Amino acid sequence: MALRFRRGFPEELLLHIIGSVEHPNTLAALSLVSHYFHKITEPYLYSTVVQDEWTGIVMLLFLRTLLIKPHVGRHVKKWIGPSPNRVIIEMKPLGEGSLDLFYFLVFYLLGHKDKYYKKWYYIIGCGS
Amino acid sequence: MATESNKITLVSNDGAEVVVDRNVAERSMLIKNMMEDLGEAAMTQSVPIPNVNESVLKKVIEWCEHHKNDPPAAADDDSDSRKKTTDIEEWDQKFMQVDQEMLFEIILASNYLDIKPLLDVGCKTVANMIKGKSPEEIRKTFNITNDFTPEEEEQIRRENEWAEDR
Repeated sequence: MALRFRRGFPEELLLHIIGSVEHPNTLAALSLVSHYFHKITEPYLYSTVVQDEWTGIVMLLFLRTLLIKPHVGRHVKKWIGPSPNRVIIEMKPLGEGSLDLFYFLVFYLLGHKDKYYKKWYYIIGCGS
Repeated sequence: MATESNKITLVSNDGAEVVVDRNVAERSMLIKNMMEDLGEAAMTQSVPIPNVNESVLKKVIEWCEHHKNDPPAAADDDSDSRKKTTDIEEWDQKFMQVDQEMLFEIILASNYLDIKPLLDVGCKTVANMIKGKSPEEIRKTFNITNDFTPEEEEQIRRENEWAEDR
């Protein structure tokens, strides 16, 4: 069924709908709908990163995207660790922090635990 | 025109008069504020609702009627208190089983009338409709034209890979 999405449906309400979508996979699909949807979905798509496992592929794929589009690092608000603990890391607002996020991932992946933790605290402040 | 003192008359944009209890109508913050501004005058004259037609207005009032005794929403902290998309109570789910045109009219009306809980339910309902759908299915649902080149599409698909279910 055809909808009146494009003519006169306010962007503010579209954002409300997209904000109600929690499923990363659905947000990824929304970002592929059109240029316009791609633009308005981006902050929601990147707001939460869920890791599958500690050494998982998500980290690598995310790092690849971060290299292509460094600005998306700014959208990341929450990093959810793998089960069973599902540690939730709240990211501080990063500003030009895509670089911080980049280092965070690199240190993490290289296993430099000390540097990684240092960076970790730098990024998340005094979070638990 | 309403005669009983606790009722007010709303007039839709197609000229239909709808008489409702004041406490029901005041689920709408727009109407509530209007009533406060107008005072007694609001009880004796009809209130025009220029952006909403009769069928949508009646539908919205049906929702307000059912939810008239709900406690007022907690102060605006929509950060973590945001409910999951699946958390729509049963009555609301049934209420939202309307055609898409009506669903979008309800969303527009609840936004205009400033009825936040109804706006949330409407948006969550649409979010649930697109959950798990492919980009092409979403385009079809909302009548959106794909304006990506195949190369652009492939590029974004790669960028999004981290978010895919596996």
